[in-house]
Amino acid sequence: MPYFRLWAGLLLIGVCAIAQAADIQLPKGPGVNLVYAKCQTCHDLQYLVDSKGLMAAQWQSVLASMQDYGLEATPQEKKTILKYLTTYLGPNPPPAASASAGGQTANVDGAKVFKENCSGCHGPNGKGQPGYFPPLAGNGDIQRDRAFPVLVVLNGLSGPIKAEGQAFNGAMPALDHLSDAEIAAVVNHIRTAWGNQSRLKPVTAKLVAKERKRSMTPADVHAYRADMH
Amino acid sequence: MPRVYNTQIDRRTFLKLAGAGAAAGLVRWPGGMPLAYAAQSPDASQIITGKSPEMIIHNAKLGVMETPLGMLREHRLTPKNILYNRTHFPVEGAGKWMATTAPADPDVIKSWTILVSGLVQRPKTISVADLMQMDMVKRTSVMQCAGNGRAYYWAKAKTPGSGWHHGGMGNLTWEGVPLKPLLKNLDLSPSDQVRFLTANGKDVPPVKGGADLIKSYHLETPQLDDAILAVRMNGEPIPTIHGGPVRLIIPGYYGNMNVKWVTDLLLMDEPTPSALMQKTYRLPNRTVEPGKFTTQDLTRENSTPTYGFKIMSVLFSPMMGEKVSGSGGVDLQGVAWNDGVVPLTEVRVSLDKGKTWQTTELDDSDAPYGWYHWHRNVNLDSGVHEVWVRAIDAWGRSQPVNGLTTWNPGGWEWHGVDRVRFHVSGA
Repeated sequence: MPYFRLWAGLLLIGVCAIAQAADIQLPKGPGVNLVYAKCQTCHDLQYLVDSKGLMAAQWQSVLASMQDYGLEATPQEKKTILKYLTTYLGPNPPPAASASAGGQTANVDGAKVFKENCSGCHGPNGKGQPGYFPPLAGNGDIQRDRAFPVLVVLNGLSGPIKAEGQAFNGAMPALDHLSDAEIAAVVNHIRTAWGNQSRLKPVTAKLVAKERKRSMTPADVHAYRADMH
Repeated sequence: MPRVYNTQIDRRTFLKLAGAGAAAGLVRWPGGMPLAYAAQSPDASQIITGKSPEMIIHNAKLGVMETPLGMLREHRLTPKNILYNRTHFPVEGAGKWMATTAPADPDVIKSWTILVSGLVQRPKTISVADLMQMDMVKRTSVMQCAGNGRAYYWAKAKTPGSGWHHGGMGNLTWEGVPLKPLLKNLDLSPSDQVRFLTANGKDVPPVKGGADLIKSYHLETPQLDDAILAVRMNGEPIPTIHGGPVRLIIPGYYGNMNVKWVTDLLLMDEPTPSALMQKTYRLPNRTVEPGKFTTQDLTRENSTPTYGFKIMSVLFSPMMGEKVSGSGGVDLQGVAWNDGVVPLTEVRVSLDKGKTWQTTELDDSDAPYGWYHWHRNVNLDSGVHEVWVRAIDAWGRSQPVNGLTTWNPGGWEWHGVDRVRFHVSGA
């Protein structure tokens, strides 16, 4: 398990693949955002799509296994995820698009979006997890550029970074299933929560819509971040 | 002797065989689900440098990919660019070092060590540099994912996991140092409580507290006598994605047991408690029904890990849905293998859904652990035909005629009689 000493050497071999997770869309329904938020930390969503049709007892068993593999979720969150999986990826799913859970309304609660989609990795108080997920509280990167956090949420971010003096080398998935209004709300939330102070103009849904049009890979966002510094 | 190595099947033909969904960048397999991707899903070469873009992706983030059968059948030894891959942790971010078929950097190889410890009085460290100075042996053996063929189980009931068809395997030549003599020469002075060998590699879970991929083996298992600490694959340093610079190769054992990037070997009284050993990659010891018994019901007492290969045979030519000419007869060709403990004795084919069986010609040059190639020329009328294939070994072990009878909640160790429909023209 002492693996750090190898990285330097192994990275020198010139790995240049632009690894990027497949952009897989799940059927819309209550709880889908939580599934996007929790299930892409360790694997992409193809496992879920491939397992479509599992019976309720089987999904329950899958969810229990995922805890062995490191899933962190509250009992309430697990209940919501299980309900989603057994309903929309069970043997008899309802017809598509019957339940639109996408918050398209103007009054989206950024704190709620954060809790459902981001807190699993970045922590309920935005402190992150040392060595695994960078903090957002006190993180200067999110205040440097109006669009940067929007691009991260839309496209993901992968590659080595430093935040609050700590090194990270993770791969955040794209959360582009969120609506323009939800992304604007969550970015405005993280910029001003936990003592964060922002001098930037709040992000609007219109700005998110504009940024959504440029298609970037997580590595492109990493390069964008480097240019920002 | 006719062989299929040079059979050309281009991407277009493959996609056509794979179904209409392929045209849109989706591959729709029989028994599988149409996969809901956006158009810009990455191809295999973008996920693992050096892999063929034709590979079938099962999980991009984890670098899990399968070889199309039409490519697999072209080679006696599976080349690294088309060999299937199963890694258990993301091959991006901190795990990006894994994502290449290139070998590890010479400095990495030079500094790589393996700690051999556990219930021993004298733990030792060995380096890959040391291994390379020792006498090496070659093992030609099948590497196969324990989930290979899982998609066929889905005809009975869905299981979790990727929908592998037959392409989660390859035939490879490994070179390395025999394990058991090495352990003996290290003079570890093990306790007489020692029953298991445990292996761990450099890969780590992406989240705190996640289960690590650690594997344990009974020390008296016959295949362990043939195990090697391998440093070469198909005559080259082992590609990083396949475990280089050093991988534990236990010939005849399912892929997950062949720990990549070995850093630790332990002699222990008990197997590892890792969930990747105790909760998954296991089969219940009795037949269970879907929904009545799940992977969470598996215990050490009521189940067995995916150790040695179940006996299996696969038709390489013709493939499912392929159109072949019937003039001069149709050459049925494929491979078969088992766990290598006893030899295969026969591979049989049936053209009447199991009523009568005919024997085939068997080539055992890669025995006991590699593919046995088999073939038989048969006369067939024009039209659609279905051929069944079944292997038998010296202990009389064979494949279930209906593979669904071994359905299990994890979808492991598919080894049902291969049933392939194809079209014969101009007989």
